[in-house]
Amino acid sequence: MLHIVNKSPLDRNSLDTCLATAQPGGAVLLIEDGVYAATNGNAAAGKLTQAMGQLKVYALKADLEARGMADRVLDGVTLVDYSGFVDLVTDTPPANPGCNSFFRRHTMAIEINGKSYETDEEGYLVDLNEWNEDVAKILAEQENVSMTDQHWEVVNFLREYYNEFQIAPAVRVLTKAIGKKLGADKGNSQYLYELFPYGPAKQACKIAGLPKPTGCV
Amino acid sequence: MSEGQIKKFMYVNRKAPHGTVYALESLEVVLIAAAFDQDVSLAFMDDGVYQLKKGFNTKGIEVKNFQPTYRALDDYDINKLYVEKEALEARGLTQDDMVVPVEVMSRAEIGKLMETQDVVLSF
Repeated sequence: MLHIVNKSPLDRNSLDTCLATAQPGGAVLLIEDGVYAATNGNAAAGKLTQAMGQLKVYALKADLEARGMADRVLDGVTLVDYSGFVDLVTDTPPANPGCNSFFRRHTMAIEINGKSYETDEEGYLVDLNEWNEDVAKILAEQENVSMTDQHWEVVNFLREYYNEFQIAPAVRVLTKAIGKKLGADKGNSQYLYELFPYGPAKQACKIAGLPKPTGCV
Repeated sequence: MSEGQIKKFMYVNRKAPHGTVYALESLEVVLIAAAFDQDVSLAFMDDGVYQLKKGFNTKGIEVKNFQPTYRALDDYDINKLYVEKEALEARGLTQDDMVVPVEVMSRAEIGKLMETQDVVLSF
């Protein structure tokens, strides 16, 4: 019998219940927050090691990696990928590996030279890796912004910021950071609103191919 | 913002990242609330300390990696981050495992700090 645990051993008692229930010869698969039990130094690691005498223990590698814990896996734990997960569940080789597209979004698209770029219902680019200057120009047109060097400066700055911190900064933070990088004459909201009249964060982010800033309605 | 009184806000984070949406939601609330120029501190307790464990790689689980965003907190003038000592120890973690500078404190010390707050929001 395969038992799957997806809760942290130090937050819930799922692992304890599982270990008390599983019969010798059974298998335990740790996924999601359950993988913390299989890491060195975790207070639950001792229990798991002890259980390995009678149970086979697996952990999903992608979940360890996502949590920065793949370099400290407990000895004796077997790491599996998603198709290994399927194998464990079905006990047979997967017939159709890699079918993991669960969600479909409502999207629209813009067309440039025959290539289509997906946007969400508010016109933000879905995949920021698809961004290029031609896409930016079309997005700017939709916002009634005609791009000048000053506009590009802000747009490029935002892309760099997103690249580093994975967020589109709030206007206040944007203003301060721009002032630091491009000079005090540009680090004020009046300058930014002249360039992007309907909100620098919102419009410049859209043109830069970034998601809507956090907290922006 | 307004000339109103500045209150002390503490956000308490107690859940592991990814498995539930608490970590990301808390981070977003903190960033949004930063617009109000209050005295903000963040406490990481229990499994919450896992939120700051260096080295997230979320490609395999196909979700956005929000860890770099913790490094932007300083831009938002949020630099009081407290991490529970007992929680680190129970998880085999040390201060060096943390992705941003933090102050490690005992559970009791964090409790005392909580007493000094006007508002405590727990995630």
